[in-house]
Amino acid sequence: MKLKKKSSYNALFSEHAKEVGIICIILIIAVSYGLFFYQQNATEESVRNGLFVEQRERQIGSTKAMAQHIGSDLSLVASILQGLADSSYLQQGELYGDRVDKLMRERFDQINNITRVDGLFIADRDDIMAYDVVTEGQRSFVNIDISFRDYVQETKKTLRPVFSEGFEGIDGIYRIAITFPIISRENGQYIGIVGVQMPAIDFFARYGNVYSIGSQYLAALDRNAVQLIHPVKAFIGVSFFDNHTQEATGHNIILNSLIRTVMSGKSDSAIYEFRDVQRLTTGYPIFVEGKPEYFAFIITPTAEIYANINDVLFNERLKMFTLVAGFTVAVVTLILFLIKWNNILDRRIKRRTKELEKSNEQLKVHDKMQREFINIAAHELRTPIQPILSSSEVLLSKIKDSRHRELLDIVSRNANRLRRLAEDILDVSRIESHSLSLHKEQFNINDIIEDVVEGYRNQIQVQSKVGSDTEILFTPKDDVILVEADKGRLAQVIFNLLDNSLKFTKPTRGKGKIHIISEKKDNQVTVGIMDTGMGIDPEIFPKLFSRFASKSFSGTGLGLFISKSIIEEHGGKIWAQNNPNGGGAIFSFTIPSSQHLGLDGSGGN
Amino acid sequence: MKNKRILLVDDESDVTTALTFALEDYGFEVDSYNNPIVALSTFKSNYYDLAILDIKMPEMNGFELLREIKKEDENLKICFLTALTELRDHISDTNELSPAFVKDWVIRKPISNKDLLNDINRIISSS
Repeated sequence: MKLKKKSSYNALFSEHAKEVGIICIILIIAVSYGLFFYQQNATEESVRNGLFVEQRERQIGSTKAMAQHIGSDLSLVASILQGLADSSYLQQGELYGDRVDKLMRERFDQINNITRVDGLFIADRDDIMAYDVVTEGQRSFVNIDISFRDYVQETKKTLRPVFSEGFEGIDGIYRIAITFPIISRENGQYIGIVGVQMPAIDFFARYGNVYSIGSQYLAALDRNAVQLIHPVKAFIGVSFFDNHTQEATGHNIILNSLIRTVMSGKSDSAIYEFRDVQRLTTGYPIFVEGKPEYFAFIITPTAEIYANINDVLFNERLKMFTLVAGFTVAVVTLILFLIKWNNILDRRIKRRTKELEKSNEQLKVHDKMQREFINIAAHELRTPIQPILSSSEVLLSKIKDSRHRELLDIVSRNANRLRRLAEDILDVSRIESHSLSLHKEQFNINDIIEDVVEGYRNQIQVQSKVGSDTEILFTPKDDVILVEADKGRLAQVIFNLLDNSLKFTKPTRGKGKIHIISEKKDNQVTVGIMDTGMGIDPEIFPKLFSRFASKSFSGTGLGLFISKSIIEEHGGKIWAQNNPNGGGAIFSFTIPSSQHLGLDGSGGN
Repeated sequence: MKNKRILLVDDESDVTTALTFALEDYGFEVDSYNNPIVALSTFKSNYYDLAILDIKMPEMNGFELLREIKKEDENLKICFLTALTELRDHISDTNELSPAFVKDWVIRKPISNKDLLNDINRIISSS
C-alpha cells in the first residue's frame, strides 16, 4: 500500500515534470523562431540597403555611360556636318544643285543611321535656306529666312559648331539643331551653315524611356535648363527653374541643387520625395568635344528599385523558409516519434511493473506460507521433546541402579541433542527460505561475548563435560565495540564457535586453552577464537562451513553453516585457519561496526 | 509452609503428565488440564500461586484463556510455556507482546526440569 502510494506520487511527479518539459521545449522553439525571424528581418534590411546603394551606384554609372554615348553620337553627327562643310562644292559657294543634292542625300542617309533627323539643310551667309533634304512628310524651307533661329546667329557669331537649345518648330514639334559653319579654307570667309534639325524626343528616346513617368525615365536639359524632353508634354520647352516647373516640383531644394550641380558640369545623384513618391535621380552632363552641351538625367521611383530588390529578397526568403519549414517538419516528426516511442516504453514499463508487482505479491504469499510452515514444524518438533526430557529427568532422580541410570542418561542426552538438532534444522530452513530475519539493535559486542563465555563456563562445569577443565580466556582489545546486530543470533554464533573449539580441543600438551579476542579496525569488528586442539582436518577444511561437514559426537553438524549464514546476513565474513604457530585452529568473523555515533563517540575509526 | 499451587494447562497429556511428576517432585501442588474450556469451568479463584498455560491449543488458545482467568482472579500470576517461535499469529492485539513481557512471562519448550524450576521460582517471587 505504502509502495503503491509512493509510485503513484512518482508517476504524478513525472507527469508534472513532463508537462513542464514540453512547455519549456515549446517556449525554446518559439523564442528560437522569433530570434530567427528577427535576425532574418535585420539581415534583409541590411541586404536591402546594400542592394539599394549598389543600385544607385549602378544608375550613376549607367547615366554617365549614356551621357557619353549621346555625346559621341552628337560628335559623330557634327563631324559628318564638318565633312559636308569642308566639301569642295560648298567651299566653292555651290550651295545647291544636282551635285550638292547628291552629296546632301548621302550625308543625310549617314546621319539618319545615327539618329532620325527631320532635315539636313544649307543656309547661305544671309541666313536664307539655300537647300535642304527632308524626310518624307516634312516640308522644305528653301528660300526661307531662318535668321530668327538663335543657333543660326550663334553659329555665325562663333564660327564654331553649335548644339542648339531646344526650340519649337512651326509644326509644334520640339527640336534641337546641330550646325556647322561653312568657312572658306582659302580666305577664311564665312560662306553659310550646314545643319540638321531633329525632334528632341526621337533623339533621346534611343537612349531610354522618355514617355512614361511611372517607371524609370530619361530627362534632358539644354544649357538654359530648358527641358528638351519630358513624359509630361507641358514641361517640354520650359525651364526647370521656371515658376511653373518649380511649383510642380514643390520647390524641391534637393532636386534643384542636383540640377545646378550637373549643369555646372559635374555628375550628381539624389534621393528626394516627389508628390509622395520617393525618387532616385542621377544626372550627368553630355560633353561634346569637352564642352557640356546638354544634361541627361535618369529618374527612378525608388519603389521600382525596391520592387526589384524585394523580388530578389523574396526569392531568398522563399528558399530560406522552405529550408526552415523542412527543418521544422523534420524536428516535429522527430519529437512526435520520440513522444510515441516514450509512450510505448511507458506502457511497456507499466506492464512490466504490474507483472513484477504481481509476482512480488505471489512471492510474498509464498514466503508467508513458507514461514508459517517452518513455525508449525518448529512447534511440532519441539513439543514431543518436552515430555521425554521431563520424564527422563524425573526418573533419573528415582532410579538408583547404575545400568538403568546409564540408559536414562542416553535418553536424556539424545533428547537434548534432538532439541538442538530441531533448532538447527529450523534455522537451516529459515536460511534456505531466506526468512532468517534479524532484529537489529545497537550494543557492545564485548558484553555478549562475556555473557556467552560465562554461560558456557557454567554449563560445562555443571554437565562435567569433556574439556571442563579447559581454560577460556577473553581479552577484548577495545573496551567498547558497538555493533548494530541481532543480539540473539550473534550470541548463537559465538556459542557455536566456542562449542566447536571446545569439542575439538584435546589437551594434548597439558591443560586445554581457548582464547577469544575482539577488536575494531577500519569500521570492522573482528572476533577471533583460538584453541589448542588438533587443528582442522585438511580433508574437511574446504567444506568446513557447509552442512554436516564435520560432526562431533554431540553436535548437529549444522552450527558452522548456520554461523556463516548469520554473519553473512549481517554483511560480514567468517573464516577458519590452522594456527601457524603450532597446534589448534583459529575461527574468526568480522561484521561492520556501528556507524552511528555511539558511546565511544568516534562513530568510525 | 504450605505447598505452592500450580495450574497447568496443555493440550498434550504427555506434557502435563511428565511436568506434573517433575513439579510435584519439587514440592508443588499441581492441577493439570488438557482442555482449556474444562480448566476454565472448574477454575478456583484465589487458590493458585501460578498458572502455566500452553499457547497453541484447540478451541481456546493460551491468550484467550489468560483473559478469561484474569476476569475470575485478576491477581493470579500467569505465565506461558510454549513451543511456538512466533507468538504474534496467536494474539489479536500484538501490542501486548512487548519484549519485556516475552522475556518475563514466556518460557520456551523444550526446557529441562531444573531450568523450569528456576523460572517458576523467579516468577512466583516476583512482585
